[in-house]
Amino acid sequence: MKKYAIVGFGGAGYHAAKAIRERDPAGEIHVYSDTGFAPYNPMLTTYYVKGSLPYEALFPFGDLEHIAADLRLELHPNCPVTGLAGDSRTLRLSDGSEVPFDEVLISTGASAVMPPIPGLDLPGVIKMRTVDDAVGLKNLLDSGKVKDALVIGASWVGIKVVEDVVERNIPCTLVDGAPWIFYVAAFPSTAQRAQKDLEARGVTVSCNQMLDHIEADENGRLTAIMQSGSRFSADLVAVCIGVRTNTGFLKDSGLAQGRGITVDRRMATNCPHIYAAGDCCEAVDIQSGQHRNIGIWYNACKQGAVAGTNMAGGAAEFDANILCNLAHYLDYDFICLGDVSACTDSDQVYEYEDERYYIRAVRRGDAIVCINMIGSAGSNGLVRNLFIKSIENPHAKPDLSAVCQLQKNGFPDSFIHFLGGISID
Amino acid sequence: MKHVFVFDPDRCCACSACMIGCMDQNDIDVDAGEACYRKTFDNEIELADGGVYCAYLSAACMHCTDAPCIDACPVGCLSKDPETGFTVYDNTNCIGCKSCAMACPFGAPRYRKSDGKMVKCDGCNERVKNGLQPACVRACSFGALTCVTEEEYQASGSNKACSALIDQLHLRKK
Amino acid sequence: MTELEKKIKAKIPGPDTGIEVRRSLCAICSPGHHCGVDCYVKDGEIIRVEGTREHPYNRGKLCTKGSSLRNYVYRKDRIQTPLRRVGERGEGKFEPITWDEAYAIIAEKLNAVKEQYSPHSVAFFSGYCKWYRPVFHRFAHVFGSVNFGTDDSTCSASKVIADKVTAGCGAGPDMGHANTFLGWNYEGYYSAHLSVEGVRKLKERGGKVIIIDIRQTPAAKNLADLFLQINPGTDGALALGMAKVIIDNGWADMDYVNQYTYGFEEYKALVDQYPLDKVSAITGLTPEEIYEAAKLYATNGPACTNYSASALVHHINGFNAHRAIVCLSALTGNFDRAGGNVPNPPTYLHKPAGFKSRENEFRSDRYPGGQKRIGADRFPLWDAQFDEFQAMDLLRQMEEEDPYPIKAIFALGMNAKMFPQTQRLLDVMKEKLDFFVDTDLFMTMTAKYADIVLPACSSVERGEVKAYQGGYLTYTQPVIPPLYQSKSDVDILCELARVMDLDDEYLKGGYDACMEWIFDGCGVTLDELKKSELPVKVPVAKWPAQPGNCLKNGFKTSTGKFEFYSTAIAKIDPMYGLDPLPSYYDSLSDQNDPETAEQYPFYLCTGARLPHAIHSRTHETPWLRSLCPKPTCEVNTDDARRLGLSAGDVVELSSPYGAIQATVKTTHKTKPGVILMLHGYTEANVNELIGRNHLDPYSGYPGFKGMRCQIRKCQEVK
Repeated sequence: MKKYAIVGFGGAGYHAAKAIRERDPAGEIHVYSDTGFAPYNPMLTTYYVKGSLPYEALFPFGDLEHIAADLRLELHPNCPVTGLAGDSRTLRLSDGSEVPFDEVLISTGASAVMPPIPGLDLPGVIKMRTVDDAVGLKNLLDSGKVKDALVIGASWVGIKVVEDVVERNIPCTLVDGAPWIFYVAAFPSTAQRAQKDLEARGVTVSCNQMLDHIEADENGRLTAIMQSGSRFSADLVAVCIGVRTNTGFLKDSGLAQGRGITVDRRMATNCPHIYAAGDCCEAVDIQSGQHRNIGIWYNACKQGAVAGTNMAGGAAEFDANILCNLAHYLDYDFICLGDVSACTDSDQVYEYEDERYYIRAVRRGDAIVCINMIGSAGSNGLVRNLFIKSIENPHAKPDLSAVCQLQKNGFPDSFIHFLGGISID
Repeated sequence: MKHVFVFDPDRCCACSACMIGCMDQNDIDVDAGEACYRKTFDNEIELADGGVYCAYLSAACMHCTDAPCIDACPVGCLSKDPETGFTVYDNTNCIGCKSCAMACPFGAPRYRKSDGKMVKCDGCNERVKNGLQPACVRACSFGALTCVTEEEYQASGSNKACSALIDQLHLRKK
Repeated sequence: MTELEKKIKAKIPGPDTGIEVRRSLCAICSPGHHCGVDCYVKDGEIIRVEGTREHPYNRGKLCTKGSSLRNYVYRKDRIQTPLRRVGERGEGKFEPITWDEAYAIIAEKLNAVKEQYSPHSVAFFSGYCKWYRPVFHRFAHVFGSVNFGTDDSTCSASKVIADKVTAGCGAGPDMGHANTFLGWNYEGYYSAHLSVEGVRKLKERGGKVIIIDIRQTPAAKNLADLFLQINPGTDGALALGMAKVIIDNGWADMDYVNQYTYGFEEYKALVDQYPLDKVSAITGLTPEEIYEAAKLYATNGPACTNYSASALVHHINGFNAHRAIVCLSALTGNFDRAGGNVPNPPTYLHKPAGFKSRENEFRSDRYPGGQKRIGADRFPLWDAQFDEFQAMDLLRQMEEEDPYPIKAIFALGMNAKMFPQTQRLLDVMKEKLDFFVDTDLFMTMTAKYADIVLPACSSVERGEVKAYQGGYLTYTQPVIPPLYQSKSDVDILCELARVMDLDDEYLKGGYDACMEWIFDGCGVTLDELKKSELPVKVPVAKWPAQPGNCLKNGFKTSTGKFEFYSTAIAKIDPMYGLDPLPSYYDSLSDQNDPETAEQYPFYLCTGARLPHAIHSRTHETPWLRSLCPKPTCEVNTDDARRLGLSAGDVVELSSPYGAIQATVKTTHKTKPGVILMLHGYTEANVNELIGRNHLDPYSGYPGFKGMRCQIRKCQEVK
């Protein structure tokens, strides 16, 4: 009988457990978590704050008790793992005990970055990642005490916090240290348009603003002082400047790491029988062929399932890993497919704009490098799929059905040609 | 018994009876801006050689065996009905984040503005369970759109299925 | 949700869900169809509609329009009570009145016109739907008026008359035995959905299909072995050209011609004027295409032809074009032969069912005479051949009061948008009529001009007798009671007959009394019919129709032969210039002067079918309207590029008679120079562009499908 360890119980951990149980009815599955929560989706936090869903729905797979019963898991809640011996697959726990396993999955996820900047611990300064973060912000906004807000970081989380605030008719300012918003995904012109549209919704936006520190006055009112000297005052300051993988405990484990644990398409690490999945890992990005941390819920679930299958003796690969960022806020949507940072000045640029869509996309020879689209939510899956197909086969053409859908959805033929032309085979 | 939608483009004329059947079954209020779950296409595609191809198509959720929308949903709204094999959903907790739409290679899930939730074709799951055809299939006069059991589909040797596309996109469990 | 709640939401019929399936028919389109429907009813409301699988006509199928039947029936703008006009005519201001009040007013006003002028000054007019027409027709005559008219003045009857004066009767394609199907204007996918399977079957057993159309269609793509995309309005020339190819190559069935036809030498002299190069220039087809089509049609064994009811005869040369096409059938020995076209006379309301009813007697036995019908002087061939007034002369007669004034119109479902220059007709009605009553389901543009408007109910709210192909008869029962205070058209007529004390026991007796007389002797009683929710096989019906009757017993023409040279037309006073031969002339012959040709260079073809619409009947049905929300004109893509037009642009379409605005759809499916526009939109009524005198002199039919027009982009209003 095999003994499995799952370290970290989010989307990846849950799907791994499920996949293991499907293949191995008898195996012993131990789940370690540093919280007592059922698996939850960090992406849902801002929706909970907004009131779009009840607290229970933060936990898409149900409560811990039922999950444990259904999948017959040995749960170890509030039991942080402090170390791992990669060669012997032995976990070290906070009480110093050591437990060996046959198969180990690391699925510890990521945490919001809170750098050592003065003032980040002040009351009214928040981050947004965990269930506690969400409950805290919701209570704060519900209290009615927040008259204005400052969001630091025009990231995917930052923009959702902006939405939470704006939907309550609270004046909001968004600042970012980069020269334009959505810096890691948007072309400057895309960002410019998104910024203009965001400002039209009443949000003040300021870029090139690196935070120096935050001060509070005697009433608790906060002021963020920037390295530029600019000052932004607000009752609430949300710091949304990125996430970092939860891999500190693996320092001496022998696992290869970059910005996360390096895994192959099978989600296997360099140490036999040790796997990693979800936001803590770097899987193969099929566009660049390099390892890359692409932390989205879908990847976490899929990677977990792939890892679980392989741990239980099956054979599965995760092959749809591309950079893909969807920002959907205030009835607005912006998507970036592919790697904006890989674009160079000599690439072929496609641009299109009408009342409905904004598109900027880049191609290098046969390969699509990056696509920015605004207003395209209903077609994002179609375009993403065509992008993936073009990576697998640069000469693949959009199929007839996709062409028809894109045409009907109002995309110009020129964009369809950019995506690879038209085929009727 | 697992079911498969089969589409024969040589019989379709994009008459949209399938869409009307869907509207009737699902009480679609078009005046409120709602749209049904199936779409037809009467497109003219200009080809590189100067020719024009007249396409007549009907498309909705393909009910992929290994449906990417299910895992893409952060709230867990989507699932497979073990009896029919259709990709079904309960959008009570849907947050309208459009992740399912981003995962779907066919553009099937749709955002419904009136309540901010996603909706899609559920294969008329309950009708099929009760021995009836999906409403769109029932409304097709030309045999362009049919729904058969997986066994029937395999036996027919047809590759006209929506399933052919699914295979092409590796959306079937390997 | 509980399992039961799920079933109710999914509308699963059964005792547990309280959802019952009741049967009726869909009457949205022409009575030549009318498919059986299963209505899912819960708590007195229809919640879903499907085609009835066991129905012998449609076998479970419904078209796009029929699938929207529920949405049509429950349209929010159904007229709820009888209404009396309180504003100006056309303004749309009405007050509710009771049925008794409405009947009293109608009786008084109609009788007043009868006394002051004459009974013929009351015109009785019927639009859709047509189920009540025998009763209404009789009503007009019993009232004393010769003037009963219908939308037949622009629909199908021209073809019926052309058939009659050529072959004595019409004949349908015998698909089951044909080797070749000549689908002239055939687009079954859009307008005869049940016919497609027959064409597919013919193909599956190796038969060949020729499609002739002015646009690329699904039929052309899915069915055609040979597709001829013809210049609009030139079909007559093509038929004559094909005839010449057939004769010149010795493919004509000369035994048939010699034995069964009349006027071949004159006909041959006519077709000799249409050599391939000339026909090619007229039709825009290559000589090879024409030759191949003629050869395939004439030499591949039995060949049948699709004759569409209105596509051709909506050209001012359409009557002759249709005759020329029918002549091909006789020339090749396919008329009244197996696998060719076989006569199959209608039993009741345009439906052939293999037995005789007394519909025509019921309609016309009480014809009062004593006056000429509207249009009699202008369209003598129509008047001699068809038992209705030709409504295309109504506007003129009202305006000029010549030969006598028309002072009242009693209409059921009148649709002024069917008339060229609609607004002018309505203006004249507004000015000239003493009284106008209209009955409809919805408050239409026309009903707004009525003094009294009566609410009719739909097919699912009434019972009606209907014959079906296969030798069937049915008497439907209401699946829901009439909505609001609406009534069935026949109940309205019969109740009014009683209030007016008309001298007719059938009208006063009610619908069943009328139907009993019409169907007396067919072998089933109304009671038996009522008991069956499906059509009943009629004992005396002979089905299918067997070919050879005309060949054996003679054609119903004065010569007893198939007439290439029509003796019925030859009888018409030569001053009208009607040619007994199916000669060809230009479909724009009345507007080819250089000035008009230059100002209006495009060929406007209205009403080419699309699957979501039939006339104006479904434009306001939300589900169907959502498929194409804006009145749209189709412009050839190359033309559009030349004119700087893109899809979605708003353009003005104009003719010397009027102008409308429409949204552009660019298409490769039509030829350059041709613009297609669907008719029947109140806000973009393309028939305003058709001149009221742009008419086929043989039939009186307007040239809806061939009119000069101009198109220009509308400046955007910011």
